[in-house]
Amino acid sequence: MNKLFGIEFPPRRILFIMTIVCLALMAVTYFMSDSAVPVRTAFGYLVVPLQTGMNFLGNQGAEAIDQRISMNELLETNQKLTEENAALRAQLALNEQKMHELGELRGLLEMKESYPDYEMTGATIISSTSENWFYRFTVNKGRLDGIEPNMVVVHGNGLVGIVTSVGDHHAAVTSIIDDTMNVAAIDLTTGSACIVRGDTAGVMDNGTIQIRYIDNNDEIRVGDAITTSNLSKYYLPDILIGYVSEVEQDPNMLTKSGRLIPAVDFSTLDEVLIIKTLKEK
Amino acid sequence: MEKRKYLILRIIFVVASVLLLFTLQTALLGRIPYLNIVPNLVLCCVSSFGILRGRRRGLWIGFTAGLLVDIFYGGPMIGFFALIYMYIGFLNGLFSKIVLKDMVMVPLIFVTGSEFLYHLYVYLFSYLLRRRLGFLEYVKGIMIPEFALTIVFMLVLYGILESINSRIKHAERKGEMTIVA
Repeated sequence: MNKLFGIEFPPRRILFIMTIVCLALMAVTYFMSDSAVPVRTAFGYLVVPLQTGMNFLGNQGAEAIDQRISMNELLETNQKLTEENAALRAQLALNEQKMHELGELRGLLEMKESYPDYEMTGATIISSTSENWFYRFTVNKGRLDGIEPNMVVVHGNGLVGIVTSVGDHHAAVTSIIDDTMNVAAIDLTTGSACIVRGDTAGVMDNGTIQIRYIDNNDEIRVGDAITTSNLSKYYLPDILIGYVSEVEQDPNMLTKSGRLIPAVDFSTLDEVLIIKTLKEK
Repeated sequence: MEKRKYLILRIIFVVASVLLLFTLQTALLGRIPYLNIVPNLVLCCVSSFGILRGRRRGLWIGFTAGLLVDIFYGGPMIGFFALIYMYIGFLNGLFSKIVLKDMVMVPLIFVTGSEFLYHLYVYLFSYLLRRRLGFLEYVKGIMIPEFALTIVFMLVLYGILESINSRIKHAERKGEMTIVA
């Protein structure tokens, strides 16, 4: 247990030396962000197969559990279902009317539901962030599948985040709800520019993230759709981010701030689309 | 002095544990839908090895485990988690000679202390510096649920690791004794 290589290396000294090493490592990788790439690739080869395997096991297990639960539930719910049937029929009629209305409103806003001009590829999330502070995950496509850093990631018609690093067969994605993320955005209804900022506190609290730097004169309102704007460095324009849930005046009286409900449900995210078209600078 | 054979066995044991737990935490537990908090198994692992094997081992295991986390999730900076897990391994090891390793209280106290340290570090350097999160919200939203889950897993994990560790130790001693005799 106590290895001495001839020179005295008490644990405290090792700790001190390694602290310097860690700090140096942080500085180097922060200022030269490409230096980490070969390391990430190498480790990807080691860990990603494990994670994919674990994923597979997890899915099998989940299915088996699901089946057992539904066997028991079937008997119970059968009773309830017959009773609810009548009430549901009435609800259905009402919902069909609402769907029609929604379709009309969407047409009015001229929202795009797909991005036919962009080349896209689907990917599955194989692992989530290793702890609860950040909202990052890895997907099962990497450099050898044509994925590069700064590619935009979407799900359905909503923005998920951006690719931050790639290995040969995996990529790390940081989501827009992560605290470190800022997206240049625009209010679809009013044309107001703003910044959408990830916010761990807000997500934990009520599932919303921040909108900042709205000009005081802009007429932004609750319910407005917010999309990515042309001003963003990496994000392709016109991707839906979410809907405004709150707006209020900033103390400085020059700008407004608000909160946004993301269009994507991050708590159940499983599959994503990666847009392989990079924004031209 | 450890025999070669047992050294290799120990190394395999440690590497397998760290990899397995990291994978379990990210690929399985992290993927449970609607479960917003994941227990920090990496921390349990580092803490357990620190208690069982002392400062030196704890330090290195913490460093490599932290490095693994960094490489996958550290954002632009590598070394952020390596640093904290290294210290957690070291500090757990610092107290390892004082305590009996098979008491139930031991993993409980150590993991609580380690968790507290860990969260303080992440909070300070990720959040406080950027003025993003109030301390109370963070305690309520992240710390307390994670504490609860992690402690449960720690009890199980430490039990498993401790029994494997003492089994390897017994095997070593037996081997040595036959040679001496």
